[in-house]
Amino acid sequence: MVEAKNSQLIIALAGSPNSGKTSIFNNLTGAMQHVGNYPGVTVEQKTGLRKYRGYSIKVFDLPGTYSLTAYTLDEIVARNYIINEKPDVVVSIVDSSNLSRNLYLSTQLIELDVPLVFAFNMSDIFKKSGTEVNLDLLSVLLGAPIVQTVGSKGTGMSELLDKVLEVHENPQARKRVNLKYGDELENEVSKIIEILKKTQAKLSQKFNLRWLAIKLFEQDREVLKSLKVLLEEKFYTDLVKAAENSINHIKNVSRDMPETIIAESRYGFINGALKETLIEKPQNEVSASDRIDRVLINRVFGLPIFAIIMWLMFQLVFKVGDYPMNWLALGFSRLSQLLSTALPAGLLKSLLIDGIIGGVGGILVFTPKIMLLFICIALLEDSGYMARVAFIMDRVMHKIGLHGKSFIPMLIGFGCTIPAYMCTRTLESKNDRMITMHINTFMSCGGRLPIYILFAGIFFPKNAGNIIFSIYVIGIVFAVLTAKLLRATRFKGEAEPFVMELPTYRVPTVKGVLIHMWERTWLYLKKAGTIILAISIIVWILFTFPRIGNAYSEGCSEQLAVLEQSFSLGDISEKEYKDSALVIEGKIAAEKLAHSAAGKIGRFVEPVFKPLGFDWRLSLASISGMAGKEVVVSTMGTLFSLTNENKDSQSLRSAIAGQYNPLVGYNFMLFSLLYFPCIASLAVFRKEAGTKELLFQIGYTLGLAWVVSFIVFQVGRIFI
Amino acid sequence: MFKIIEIVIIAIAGSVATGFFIWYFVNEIRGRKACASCAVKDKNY
Repeated sequence: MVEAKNSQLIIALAGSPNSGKTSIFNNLTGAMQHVGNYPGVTVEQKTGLRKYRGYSIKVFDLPGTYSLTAYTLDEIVARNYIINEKPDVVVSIVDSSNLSRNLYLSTQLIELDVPLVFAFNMSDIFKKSGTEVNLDLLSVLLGAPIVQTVGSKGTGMSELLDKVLEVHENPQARKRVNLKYGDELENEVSKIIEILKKTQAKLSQKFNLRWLAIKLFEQDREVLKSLKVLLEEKFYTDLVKAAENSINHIKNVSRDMPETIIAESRYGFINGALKETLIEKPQNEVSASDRIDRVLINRVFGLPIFAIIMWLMFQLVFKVGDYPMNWLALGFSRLSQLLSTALPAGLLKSLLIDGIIGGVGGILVFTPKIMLLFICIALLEDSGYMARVAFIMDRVMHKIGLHGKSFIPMLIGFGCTIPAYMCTRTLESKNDRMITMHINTFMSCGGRLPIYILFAGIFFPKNAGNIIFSIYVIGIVFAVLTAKLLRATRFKGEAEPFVMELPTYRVPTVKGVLIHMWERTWLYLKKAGTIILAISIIVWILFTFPRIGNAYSEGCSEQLAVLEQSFSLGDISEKEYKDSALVIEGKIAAEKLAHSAAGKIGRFVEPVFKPLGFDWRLSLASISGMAGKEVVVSTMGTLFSLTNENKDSQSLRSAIAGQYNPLVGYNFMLFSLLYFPCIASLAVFRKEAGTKELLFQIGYTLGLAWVVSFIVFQVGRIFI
Repeated sequence: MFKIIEIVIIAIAGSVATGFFIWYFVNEIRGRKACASCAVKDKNY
């Protein structure tokens, strides 16, 4: 192949969910990725760059969809991208182990008449199944080259790129395949095409007219909307009328909607093509996936196994993560000590040590545990187990009037609530979607984890993993109860049926797991370095100003002076002096804090939180947590750093332990779990569900958090 | 002198932090996602 110099090429990756699209994207682009949004919508747009044979190839990862109809936003986004942006080549990624289902999307790409290359992914699993395929023949039947790939191992990537370039460089060699929908429908399609041809040229420039005609038969809302804008009103009305006449004619003749006939024809085309090209071996042995599924999604054991896996995950995260976390904590305390001796006493020193290191450092020490948690989640996702979890939860979800599919956004909510809200778009029923969004709040996001790690580590050092696990489980229980309540009151009706896919089990690759883990860890670090840094500085200022001057109550200054005098005269030992000075300095710091703006705010809101066992510090931390749950920990870090002369991590933990008892500690975790995650998530919530639902969400979660924490504290203190 | 420099640095840090805080949340509320916000991969199954 001749090397093209500095040529630009745009390719789009289209594929069904679980077809391994992301692993191919990762393999093609490596670290050169960019995450943004498709214009006007909050569907994630992932792009990456690859230099290959002199080409600069921009790769677009389209949202994973099963088809290109206009039922979900992802489908509309993927389709509009192909139609409007006209990528040079579309790569249709097909799960080879499930050809008949995955090729449905491919038939729609064929209809779109775009330059295509098929990537038959997971070809290793396909080969192991013993089935053989005549790729040359199938490629002729589908009208585009086929490359066998194994995305998880990076196999077939060069071949794929070679074929992409071949298709791009030889447009004349492209074979156009027309799927046939039966004589009756074909006649009507031709009539509509003739009408469409009479329109302005701009229509044929933008769309393939046959595709457009088929979409009119499918009564595709989006296409009708675009035509209404593009065409003159009279022409549009006539066209729609003609299409309606044709649809009625088809209905009369075949007693089926054209949409059904078209879908059946597509499956017919796939079945026909596969029958001609597949040589299947007799299925007398059970596949490995089926054998694993017999245990993992067993009706009796499925749910307990899921619970055990989750429990093990938290044990691992907590126990193993403790080591690197302690190393980091030690590093930050050394840094504090270094700055403490290097800088003269004053505001700047306090800003650096108490504000920035206490705040941002307090968040950064949890990074290893966050990384470990996301490694575990990535392992579960990449192996195909997470998809099973939705299946396992299906029965539970049906009991609360939802479908297992609603559990997927909830699982994503363990990472971050924002994409979880967006993920509810895959639910077609509005009621299901609203309930799923409301209950997603109770899934413990990554931002809440530092709170749990801090408080569980302080108050329940021996059982921290179990305690965190219990908080996660309580979150799920409240989600279930809330769903039941909402289904019975605000969003009545039955859950819509949906077929859930169980992808073949795969061994996750190191690269894939690391990329997923890094994506999430990077966001955590980025947040710590930007908004949490800003908030830490603001919180420090609020804790430091207005200053109290030297007029401390209880005569602290005088006490300190007397103490210094006694020490210099040799009346007390150095140890006695240091201990007493620490107590007095602690008092001074507490006085300063109480006098500061933050102290006043904290004391102002304290009465609201007092019945929950929270003092003004925890009340203030809860309020600051509205900006982002990590901020709770950074606020606590700054607060206790300011009141402690000894800045090392252990002393701060002891200081918190000295202030509260385990009941308050647990109750605080519970409160943090139950109220809404953060302002950013509320903004997305409003966008997705509207202002009315947002107000309900804020009121409900705050109210529930308060009531539950109140009951727990008031009942708990009877026993403690 | 050091005290003045200290106050100036803190004033600048405070203003920048507050400005960034406001910019961040205004963008978040408008839905423009200032931090490519938690755009954790949308896993479809």
